[in-house]
Amino acid sequence: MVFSSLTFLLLFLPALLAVYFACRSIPLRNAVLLLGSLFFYAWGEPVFVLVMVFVTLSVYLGTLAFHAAKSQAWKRVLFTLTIIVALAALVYFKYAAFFTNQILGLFGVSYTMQAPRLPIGISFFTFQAISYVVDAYRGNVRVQKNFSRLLLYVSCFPQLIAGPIVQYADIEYELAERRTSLDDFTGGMRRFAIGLCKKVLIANILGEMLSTLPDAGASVSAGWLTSLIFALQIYFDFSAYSDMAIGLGRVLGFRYHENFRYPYISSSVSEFWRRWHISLGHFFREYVYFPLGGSRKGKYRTTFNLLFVWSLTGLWHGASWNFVLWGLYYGILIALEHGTFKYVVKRTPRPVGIALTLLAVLIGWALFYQTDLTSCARQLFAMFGVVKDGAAISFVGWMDTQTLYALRTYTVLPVIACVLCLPILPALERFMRQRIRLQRSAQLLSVVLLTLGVALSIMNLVSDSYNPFLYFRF
Amino acid sequence: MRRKLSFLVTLWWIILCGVIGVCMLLFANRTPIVSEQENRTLAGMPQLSLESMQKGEISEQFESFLTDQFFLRSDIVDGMNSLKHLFSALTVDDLLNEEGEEVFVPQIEDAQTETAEELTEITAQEITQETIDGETPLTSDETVTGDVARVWLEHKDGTKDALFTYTKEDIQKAADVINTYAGLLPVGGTVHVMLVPRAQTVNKFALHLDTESGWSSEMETALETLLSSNVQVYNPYELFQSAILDGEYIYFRTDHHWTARGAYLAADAMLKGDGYQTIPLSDYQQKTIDGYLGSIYLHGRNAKLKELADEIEVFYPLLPAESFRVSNAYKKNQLPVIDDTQTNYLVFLGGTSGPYRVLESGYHTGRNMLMVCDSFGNSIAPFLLPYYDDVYMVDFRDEYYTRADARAGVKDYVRRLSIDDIYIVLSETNGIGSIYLNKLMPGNIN
Repeated sequence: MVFSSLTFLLLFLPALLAVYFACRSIPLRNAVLLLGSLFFYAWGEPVFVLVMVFVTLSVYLGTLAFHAAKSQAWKRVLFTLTIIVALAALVYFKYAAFFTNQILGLFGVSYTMQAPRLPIGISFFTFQAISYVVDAYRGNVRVQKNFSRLLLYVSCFPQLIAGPIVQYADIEYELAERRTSLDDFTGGMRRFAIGLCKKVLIANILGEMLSTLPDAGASVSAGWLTSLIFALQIYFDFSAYSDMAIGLGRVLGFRYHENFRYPYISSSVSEFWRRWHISLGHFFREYVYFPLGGSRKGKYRTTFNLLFVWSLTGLWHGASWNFVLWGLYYGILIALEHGTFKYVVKRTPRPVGIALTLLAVLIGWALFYQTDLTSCARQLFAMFGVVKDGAAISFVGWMDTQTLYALRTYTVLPVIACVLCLPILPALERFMRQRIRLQRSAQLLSVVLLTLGVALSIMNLVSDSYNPFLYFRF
Repeated sequence: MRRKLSFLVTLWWIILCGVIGVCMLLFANRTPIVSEQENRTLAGMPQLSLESMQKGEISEQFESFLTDQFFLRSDIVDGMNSLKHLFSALTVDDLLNEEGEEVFVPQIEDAQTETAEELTEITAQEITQETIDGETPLTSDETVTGDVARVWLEHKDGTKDALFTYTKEDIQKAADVINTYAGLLPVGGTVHVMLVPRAQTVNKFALHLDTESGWSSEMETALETLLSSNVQVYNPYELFQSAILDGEYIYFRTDHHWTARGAYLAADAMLKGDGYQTIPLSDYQQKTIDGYLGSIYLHGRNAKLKELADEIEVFYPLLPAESFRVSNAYKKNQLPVIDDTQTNYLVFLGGTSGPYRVLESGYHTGRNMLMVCDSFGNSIAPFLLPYYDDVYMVDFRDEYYTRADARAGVKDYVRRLSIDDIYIVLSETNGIGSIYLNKLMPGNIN
């Protein structure tokens, strides 16, 4: 089930909230939330719910086992085994076919392994499970002896399928003791509504626009616009899910960390990644980069560590060379920012830094958006006015009719989306709230806008189902 | 106080959502129904089964049920589309030219405006027309003149735009297919060919009579030179020009088809080409159906287009005619020739039905014909009835035609059904360079 569906909005959420708040004790609420979360997952992925339970169970037993181990050596062995078992499902479902095919290709074997259907959210719940194991091994958190609580941590529906990656340490206490105030409830639902509007009214329509754009190699404009619209779409889509997760978490009594902080106003690539998918960056830094030695083992080792971690980050997004390349691209940029260009970055005026970072990010999205290296190269060439046909290189046009048509069809939305990428609304809200005379208007405006936004979101979900098959029987 | 108000508003929203959800479960239509506007079956309440649960299909089916059967859905769709249009710079003109066909559309060269002198300097390398089979585009040493044929939209300022460009190879391919059809006919039989523009193309001319002076097509002439002597090609651009300039209602505005008047003009030209004295349109009994919103409107359901609703004129056959769907070589279902219970293009023959149809005209002329067509054939067929005993119709598109059901190819039809003439009436999207002419027609000869 996804948040932006009528099933969730009209049935699941009202029913869950009604039952959840009807229960007074935390164990009962946990039970309701656990059953609700399992149902939420099983509604679309009934078989794969077993995968999630298996991962959690293996982590639960493994942690208990290494916690009980007498010697440090055994503890380490059992810890390693637990990590391997926890990762096994992710590796099998997401990467086995990719790596097998690469290896078979190296040996000239023509057999192609078909990738199995990917359990939704497997990358998120596996990472959450691993964060628990590592933290328990390090002694940062207490070993959870109650399996249902651990399962609730892994499967809790707000953050289950699209993050943020919640560390066990962050909600360890709340799993046992939490409460929801009126402000939490209202603020949480408000945040959820903002996310819903971002997803349905902006990201989905930007997605429609993206599908009307021509091949990204058609013209210079097509190349850049594809990257720009994709940059906006992925931001509004992904940050919307995070907003909805954070909001719902708050309603249910959990405090999740922010996952996005207006990334497109970053003045360096490093800053961009401190603002974009923060929980993923934190995970890799905490559980991969630092254990590798981080930046404390010399220049070359630091560069290697960065490139390794960023390749993994790329691979986490998908089993394809495009993603690896995308990760490496950022690894190289960040390595340069930390090394050769350290002082240049520091002294660059912020507006120039923002422009250069945006340029780098848009190029990065071309690597991410295209599904194969050939299309990727085609878009990148077109962005710089070149089309490559075999060995011949020629110039591509500035604008094409299809891009122009797409721009005329969706004229205003990209502009609105660009504006909303900037922290203008929070600033406006702060400004209004700081002035007593405007406080009431701010609150009223916020309620009216969100009421309208939610109504429009539901209407758009209904409207999107309009799918005329115009030529049937004609 | 304000905090409480916010809380109450939030709570009210959640309760409202829950009430709508419960009402959907209790009162929404649970059985699948056919939507005339969308021409598809709207989802009903899914049946719970272990298999659908295991596959996770139930979630998609249930979501489809909620969205398809949502209260006031049609109004919501209209409202949202109007709202989206507010945020776009598209004009009504753009909307009327909107492409909605799922089949191959020849590339439109919108950006090209040259004088006739400039045209001779253009090399074929600049033409980006691609064919569906991926044939090699024209080489740089081939010049435009002679190697491609274009459809031109002529402006009052003396310049002209190429609406379509057809390559020599594609025209040759089409000619080969048509010649094969002509070769199947008995002596004296004729193949009549008309590749018809859609309303989107006609609108580029008909809606801009202040700036456009006319149009012309080189394609028919180029095709004709490659065809057998018993094939006649008709140029619809030439045929329709004066009617368009006179403001005759020969094409719908909100639908991609021609009107019955447009179809009559085409039928009249083709029959006269065969030497017939045709019956004037005024001799037919006529009826008008108002408020027709066709495929171009349905594509985006734009409120502005709603104001341009069309009317459908139907002309009843002069003698009572009967129409049947034929499958496995047997007449299966009787179909209406004019189904005036319909309020859309289905009024003509009740829409397409496969694998093929026969219209028994009630006349005794001793001649039968086969029409290979798409939906444009549905409105022209009634006007061909007085000249043939039986009018057979076949639409080779996959949605309608299966060889197993038809148990025949064109060769069999001609022999078994004593076909004298073949009419090929296809829209521009199914014309030169399309999968229809390149694959479906040759694939269904034997």
